[in-house]
Amino acid sequence: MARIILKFKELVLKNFSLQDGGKTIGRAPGNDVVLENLLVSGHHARIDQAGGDYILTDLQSKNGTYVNGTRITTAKLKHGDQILVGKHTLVFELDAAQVSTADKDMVEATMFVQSAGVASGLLPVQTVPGVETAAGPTPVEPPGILSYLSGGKGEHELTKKLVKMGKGEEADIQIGGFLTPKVAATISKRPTGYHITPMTGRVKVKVNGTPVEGSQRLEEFDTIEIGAVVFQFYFGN
Amino acid sequence: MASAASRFAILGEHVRREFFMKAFSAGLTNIGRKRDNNEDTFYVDDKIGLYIVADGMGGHRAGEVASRTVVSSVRDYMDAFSSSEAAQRLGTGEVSPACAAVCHSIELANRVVHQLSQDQGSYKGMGSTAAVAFLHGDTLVTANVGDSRIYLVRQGKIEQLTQDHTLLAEQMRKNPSFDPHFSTSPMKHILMRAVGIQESVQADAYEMQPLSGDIVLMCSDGLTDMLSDHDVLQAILQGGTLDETCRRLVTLANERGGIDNITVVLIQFEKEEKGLLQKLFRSR
Repeated sequence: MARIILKFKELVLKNFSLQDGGKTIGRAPGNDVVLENLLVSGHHARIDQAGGDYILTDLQSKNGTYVNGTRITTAKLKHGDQILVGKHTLVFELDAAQVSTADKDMVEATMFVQSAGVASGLLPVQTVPGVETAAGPTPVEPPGILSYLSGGKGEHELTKKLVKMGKGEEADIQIGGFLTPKVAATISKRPTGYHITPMTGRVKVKVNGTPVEGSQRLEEFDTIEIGAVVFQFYFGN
Repeated sequence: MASAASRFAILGEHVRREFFMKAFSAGLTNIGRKRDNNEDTFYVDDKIGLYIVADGMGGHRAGEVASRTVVSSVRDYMDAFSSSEAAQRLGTGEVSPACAAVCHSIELANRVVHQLSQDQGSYKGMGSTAAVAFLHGDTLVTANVGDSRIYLVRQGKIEQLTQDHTLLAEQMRKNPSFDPHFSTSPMKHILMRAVGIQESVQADAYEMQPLSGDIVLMCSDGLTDMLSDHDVLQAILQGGTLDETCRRLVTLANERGGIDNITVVLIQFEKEEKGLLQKLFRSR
């Protein structure tokens, strides 16, 4: 069975079995491996089991996590690896049987992570009091906001994935004007950011004064002009 | 006189040209050069505008069962959605009814695969990715779980419309300075989310308005492990029919090693003017 052996200098302090999945390492009391040392962050690192492998991940700790002397963000652990956290060393060991199977060709197989207690993205982490997600919360992107510069008052928060702007009933943001079509433009929220796409050529949609061809990603403080209405785009808190 | 006037009124109202977005597609799956079986499954249906890529995992033949189950569950759910006007009115604040339906279809697929894996010993631990694209009216919904991807090729540029649910991608999102110097990193193949592994799963979904001439690519990681985004874009921009482009992409991935099953689905969007009958009956 895989285990980690906690050492301080050459002194063996404790053995931790990795039989029941991964382990979290840090100074805070909730961790599986608690290291009382100011060089250790509250939630410093974690080890996850993925298939037959063990993956070490640094949780953006202040002083870093090292494997065999190299600072790592994430590393797959091999038998005998020395993990340095603060002034403590953790030695990763596999049983003889596992070492021999680990030697065989690593197939590029997809595996599913079985995480140490809290797997980010898998469990609703907020419901686990006092425990951060092991890898730290994914930064929540602030919502985009359109604020009127002219042609209206106030602002619109872009909470929908696809925001339609125009004169029609289906438009989320109403834009009047004789020539304005039902949907003059849409703003879609995608992994790469907010993108504006004009829908017809009858009303020009301009970003920072330049007509948009096709679609364009919005940058903070861009101005958007649709007919007589002008917005400024920015990110909320 | 009255009838003539009303006929003019009808024509007058529709003198404005109306368009609708039409999609046509091609798909191809290939076992690759290293694997003994193909665990990928795909589905294309231009009639209801539904496209699915699923990449299964699990011992023996379980990966194939998982990916096929994902495709059939999503297809059945979306079929029902497309023929139910009531369902098409159910949206939430953030997403359209079509987007909500796509997410529900993936959640349903998760329950079906998970249940199968609980019931049959040989299916234990099986799972699958899911990438789903659905064109509803003039809105395109894209959703995914796992590391099968959806790309948009628009005006000579390529943009990934999905986020991989892998340990590597998650690290890179949290720490943008993180150096993915190892394209063969084991973290790339460790999924943080998959369909059927746990009791429930959440899909990431997005909505956008496709433009005439857009091409959407859906693929399993057998393609993107072998080809960079740039390679993929160049292969698509070479042109030809969608079938030819699918074959070109698969051939390229095999030439570079073909370490996994390769699946490619291409969807092209074109605006078509509504015919007079469609205008009069507002059938779309």
